[in-house]
Amino acid sequence: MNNQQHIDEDEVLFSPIYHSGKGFYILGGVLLTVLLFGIGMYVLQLVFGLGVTGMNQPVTWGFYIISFVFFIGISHAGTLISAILRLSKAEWRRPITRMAEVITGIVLLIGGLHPIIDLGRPDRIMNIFKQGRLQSPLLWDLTSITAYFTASTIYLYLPLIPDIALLRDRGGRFHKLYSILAWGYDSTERQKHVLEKAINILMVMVIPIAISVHTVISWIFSMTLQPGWHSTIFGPYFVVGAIFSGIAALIIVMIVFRKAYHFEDYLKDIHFNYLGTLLLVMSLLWFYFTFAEYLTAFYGHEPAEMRVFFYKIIGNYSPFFWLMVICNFIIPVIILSNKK
Amino acid sequence: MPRYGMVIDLNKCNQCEACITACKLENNVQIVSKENASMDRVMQWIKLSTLSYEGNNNEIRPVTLPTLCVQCDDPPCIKVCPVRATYKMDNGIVAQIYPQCIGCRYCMANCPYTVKVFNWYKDEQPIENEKCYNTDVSVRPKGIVEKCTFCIQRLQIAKEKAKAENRKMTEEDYVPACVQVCPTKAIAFGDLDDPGSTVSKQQGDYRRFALLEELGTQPKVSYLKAKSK
Amino acid sequence: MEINRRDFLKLLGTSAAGLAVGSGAGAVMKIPQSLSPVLYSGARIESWKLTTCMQCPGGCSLKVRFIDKFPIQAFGNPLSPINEGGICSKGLTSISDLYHPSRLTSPLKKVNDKFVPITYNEAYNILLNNLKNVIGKNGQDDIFIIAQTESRIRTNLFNKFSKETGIKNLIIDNYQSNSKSPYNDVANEAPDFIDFDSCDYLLNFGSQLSEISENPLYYSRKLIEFREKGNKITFVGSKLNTGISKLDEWIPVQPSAFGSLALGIAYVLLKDDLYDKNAETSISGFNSIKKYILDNYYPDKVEKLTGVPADTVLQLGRKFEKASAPAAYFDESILYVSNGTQNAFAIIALNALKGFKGYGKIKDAFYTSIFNNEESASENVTFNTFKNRLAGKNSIKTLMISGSNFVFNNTDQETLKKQISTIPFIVSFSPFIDESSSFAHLIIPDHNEFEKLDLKFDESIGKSVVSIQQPVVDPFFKTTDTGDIFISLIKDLKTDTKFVFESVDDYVKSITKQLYKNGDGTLMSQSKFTEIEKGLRKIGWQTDQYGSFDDFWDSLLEYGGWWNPFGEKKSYSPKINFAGKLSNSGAENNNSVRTTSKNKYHLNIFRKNLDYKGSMSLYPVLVEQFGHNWSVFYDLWVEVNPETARSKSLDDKSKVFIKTSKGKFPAVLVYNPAVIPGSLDVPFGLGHTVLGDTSGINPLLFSENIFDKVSGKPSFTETIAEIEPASSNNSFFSANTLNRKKELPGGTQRSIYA
Ligand SMILES: Nc1nc2c(c(=O)[nH]1)N[C@H]1C(S)=C(S)[C@@H](COP(=O)(O)OP(=O)(O)OC[C@H]3O[C@@H](n4cnc5c(=O)[nH]c(N)nc54)[C@H](O)[C@@H]3O)O[C@H]1N2
Ligand SMILES: Nc1nc2c(c(=O)[nH]1)N[C@H]1C(S)=C(S)[C@@H](COP(=O)(O)OP(=O)(O)OC[C@H]3O[C@@H](n4cnc5c(=O)[nH]c(N)nc54)[C@H](O)[C@@H]3O)O[C@H]1N2
Ligand code: SF4
Ligand code: SF4
Ligand code: SF4
Ligand code: SF4
Ligand code: SF4
Ligand SMILES: [Mo]
Repeated sequence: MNNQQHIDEDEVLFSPIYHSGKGFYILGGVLLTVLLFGIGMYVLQLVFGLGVTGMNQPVTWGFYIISFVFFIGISHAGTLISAILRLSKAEWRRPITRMAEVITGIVLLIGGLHPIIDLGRPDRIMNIFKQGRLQSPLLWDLTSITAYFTASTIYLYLPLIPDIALLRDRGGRFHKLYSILAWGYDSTERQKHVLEKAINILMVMVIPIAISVHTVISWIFSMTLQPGWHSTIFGPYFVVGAIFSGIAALIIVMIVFRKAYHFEDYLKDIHFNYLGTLLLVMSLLWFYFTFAEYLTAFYGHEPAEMRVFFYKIIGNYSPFFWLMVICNFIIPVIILSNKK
Repeated sequence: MPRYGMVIDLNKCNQCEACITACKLENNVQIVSKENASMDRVMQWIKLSTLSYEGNNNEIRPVTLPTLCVQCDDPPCIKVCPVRATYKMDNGIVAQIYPQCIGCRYCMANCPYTVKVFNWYKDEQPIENEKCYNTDVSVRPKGIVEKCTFCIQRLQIAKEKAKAENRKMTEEDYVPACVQVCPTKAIAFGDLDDPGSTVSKQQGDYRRFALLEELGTQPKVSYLKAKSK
Repeated sequence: MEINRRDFLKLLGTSAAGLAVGSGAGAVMKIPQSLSPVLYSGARIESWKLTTCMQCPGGCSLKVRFIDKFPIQAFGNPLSPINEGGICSKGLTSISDLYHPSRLTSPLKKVNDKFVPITYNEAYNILLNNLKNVIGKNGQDDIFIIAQTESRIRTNLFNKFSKETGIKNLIIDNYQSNSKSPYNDVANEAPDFIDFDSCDYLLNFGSQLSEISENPLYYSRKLIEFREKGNKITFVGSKLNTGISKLDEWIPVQPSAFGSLALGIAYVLLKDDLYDKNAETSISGFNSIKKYILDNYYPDKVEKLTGVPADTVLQLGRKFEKASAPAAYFDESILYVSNGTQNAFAIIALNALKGFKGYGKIKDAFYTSIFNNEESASENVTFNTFKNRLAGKNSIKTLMISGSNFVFNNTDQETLKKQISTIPFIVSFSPFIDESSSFAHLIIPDHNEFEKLDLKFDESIGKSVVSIQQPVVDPFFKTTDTGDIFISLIKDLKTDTKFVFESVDDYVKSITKQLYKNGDGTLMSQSKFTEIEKGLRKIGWQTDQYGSFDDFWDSLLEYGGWWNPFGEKKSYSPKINFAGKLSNSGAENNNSVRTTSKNKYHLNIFRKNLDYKGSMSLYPVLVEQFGHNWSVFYDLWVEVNPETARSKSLDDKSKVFIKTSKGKFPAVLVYNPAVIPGSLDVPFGLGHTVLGDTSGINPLLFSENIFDKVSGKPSFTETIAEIEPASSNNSFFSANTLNRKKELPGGTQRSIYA
């Protein structure tokens, strides 16, 4: 009945599912090449050792940990944002939640892979299960990421079920797959009700999990005795940073989708406006935390802390530090405060 | 149970570096190539660090001391290890279990003394050194972390020897390589819990200090300050 | 006893024994075929043997650890009075030399610029015929021998050879004789030791006593005791090396000004009339010397000559005159300056004014009792003679090189290389192809030090010590003890020789027999003696009893040596005759003052504690460790006073070029406040082109040809250099790229660092 009508209205939404253009294959090819290159490099690392990464003593983690934090940070785009928005019943959210949730799933996978890539002996990874010590923040991390991944994929999947059922009903490509994934969903009232309830429960669950993930990641650092890391502010600081980067990632993906798939009717200015405001808030919050972090370090004036402090403010790392401040605070604040 | 510790008398140490060479040879520590060395990947379990210079002009004196794993009594490194590849033994030695380490390097990040080293590569070792490998110590593969173990293989041998001779182990039986070779006898080693041992007597010395004690790591390696002038 | 063989001790524990010794064995490993079954399937039994380290003049007693038949580690012998269980880095690594992949495995002959293996007999006959020919046609004067050995047995063999065959051009570059040669010149004999029992003030002119000296490990311990007794040490030198920071006072002076400073101190003693009055008779021409010093070395002038404030000179003088038994010390290092010998004379004069009270001699030293200073036979031939002959008509027909790599270790190497490549016949006895032996036409490799028999005599600890170096393994390869070759040569060149010994073993045993006969002293089986024991000895009690010489010999091998802890000492109070040599002690030398102009500095090529000699490159562990306290690895660095560096806006750890008249070379700059301002301190030891690890740069290549006219020793401290930032990093790296040679001349392969 109104299913059919629905389909006609939103034909533009379905088209990418049925027709993969030339661009799709080119992009896919490029990404595949990048992937193969990455795999090649990893094999190199397996054969020769972690030395190929350019890390050293005392830079024991380097690029992998940064990528890890980065991707896990972005992953907050999705689930957390959509859950919060859903919870606050912000109706404008509808077109973007799914996009956000997909980002979460994919990016979590990428991020979660990094600690494994980073291992000197990945062949001994089972030791974590055989001899794992729950006292190690690394284990907390493992647990919370797994939990978050599970929760957010389910959270992505449940609202998808009605849509998959639609696709199943339309037939065509991947018909079999869709019918399995749809779980016999027929839009009965009971099904709707149960689904709604499940989504609501998950929604509440996913928020603390998401927050815990990023808090725990920050704890990997702050549980050590390293100057500049050993700080109580790291938990909320990382969470704010994560949401901040998550929103940014979401906006970028939205722009790309809008352009590529002509979603102008769905992703409207209002979405960008709302998200922009959110971004501004997060940017200010981020700055607040950064300021608080460095002020306490500076005011305490502990020699070890001060070495790190000056290293970032005026030392070798100052270009990166100030670039971060400019990109994360000055530019967003200037752009976002000017209502056009 | 003894609690092994070390005291290095900086008044006696004249920075001859014999302890460094001895440790490298005793423990088959890898020699790294030029390329790796220039990237800060040198593997020394004990090294000489010049912390500062005291005085000015003609009065200047370098404050140089051998630094090694201080065998913390409350070691931050073991707390973070996800697989218990590093742990504290009953006798206080913080040991490494090489076959268990997954190479996550978390312990390195959490060692405030930055004394742990990682096998970034397996550089080909000079033949003449391979031929002289100490047969009591395994050669570590790439991808794992290692550090000073107070020459734990020597403890093992000392125990076996004492047992074979049917007697109690004495202080002379177990002497780490760096302690043994030191030309000036600057390093004292022994049981901190035995009030008669040199190391425990030296704990009360007014010159005694330990590195980063304020972190609460309770180092079991301490130093005696050089007498000024 | 501590040193019992612990054969019973099976190796268990964390062992990966098979892996360690056996890994990749076979063709690549330099061990003889006959030993490989043991290597693969030995029972891994541990054993220990004692021998003596001959890597430096110290002569420490070593405890070598074996697994099956293979020596794998060396430690110090705790019962040795010299090292008391200590050992230095070089001694620790010396075992690896045995297995060095670049070791020569048989005699080599150069055919068409390539070395080909030949048999020992062939090689020996080539050498013998050449010597016979040259002696017949040109005479002995066209033959030169350059030998570097710390063994007095071998020094004596070379001298015997020289005497018997009439080949006078024997240059023995040996620490012992070099550092004592200034004493021998003016006093006929040198003191045996610093008498730490009575000495109460040590004024050290530039010697790194505790690291590279006559007896590094003994001095390391002794100087600490010395200070703990409340005595003071003053170090005079341009650099506060790590190892000598155990001191009370540092007087920064360029080495070329050491003599002026010594005479400046002497001035104070003379002026205050607080010198030992015996000096008036023991120094011949005392009054004119006194006048010379009083006229020329007043504090203000010394301040100008040395840069040391006049007040400080006065204070030093007061300290020296107040001390009851002061010692002003120098050693061989002082000679590596253009006015080195004269500086040494000035220091001797200063000592003489206090009657050498800080020094001592051993009564009836075993060594002197049998050799009577035979070793100073070739005192007139210095490296300078050789250089002059090369530069002049260069009629040298044959050059024999043993244990020396003088090409690598000298300034002005390019000229030297050109000149020696015209010598028609060069024979080397080096076990390696190094920068010098690569010029040879014939190489008859020597045994490794763990494969040959030798004795080491030492008096520097104030007691007579004879340590035995025993062959702890059978020779791995077709090598020959150079001493044996020289003995054969004596017999073949002079048929009616009075030299009766058949081999080095024979010679060593004959000396040991005298040790057995004289019955003094004791085996190295006890390092400390109680007063009761000493008393019993004095009234004739004997602690060791041997049934026969063979028993004694066996015990000697078991304990590693003999010493006489009960021997007496006597004072060192020689008659001194400077014969006018003091009066132009180089004080007016321009180099003695700090350079004043803007971009002109002293290039000081210094020895780092580990380096000891250029041959460090044979030990990978040492090469890796070389610059570790500056975090500079396998590369040359330059230590500069931060004040000097900042004045040129150069940062710590930045890359710089150092420019001399010979060209420029790159280095990593490190700030070191313990370096005299205006000095560029560059370490040597790196930069080999053929021997061992070839990374880094040899700064001697860029030093000017300045040398001491008396001794011929190159100056390592007087080259004038400029420093500039390395503007482009690219050129820095390309100038500094490694070329580790895989293929060595002679076809030996170094398979590491592929
Ligand atoms: N273990 C071992 N010991 C050895 C040897 C060995 O091979 N192994 N070799 C022996 C031999 S042959 C020798 S010659 C001696 C040498 O041993 P040393 O006599 O100790 O000589 P150097 O190493 O040259 O040290 C001289 C010191 O003087 C100072 N100095 C001298 N000139 C200058 C200068 O122009 N500028 C600066 N900044 N400082 C200067 C520096 O502080 C330097 O440390 O060692 C002997 N001892
Ligand atoms: N770069 C550099 N130059 C120096 C010095 C320095 O420290 N560094 N020191 C200076 C001083 S003080 C001195 S005394 C001279 C000393 O300089 P040299 O007398 O040349 O001593 P080494 O450099 O040790 O060279 C010894 C050579 O002997 C060979 N050799 C090794 N073992 C044996 C053996 O068992 N038998 C024989 N026959 N040969 C063997 C090796 O090939 C090695 O290259 O150099 C002076 N020049
Ligand atoms: S061996 Fe002894 S004297 Fe030498 S550096 Fe080590 S602690 Fe110091
Ligand atoms: S010094 Fe470092 S490695 Fe050693 S026990 Fe302490 S924290 Fe662990
Ligand atoms: S590197 Fe090895 S020892 Fe260190 S924390 Fe990781 S697993 Fe544990
Ligand atoms: S105790 Fe043993 S392992 Fe530790 S630094 Fe000394 S020699 Fe090396
Ligand atoms: S000091 Fe000299 S003799 Fe003693 S171990 Fe070192 S190199 Fe050998
Ligand atoms: Mo020398």
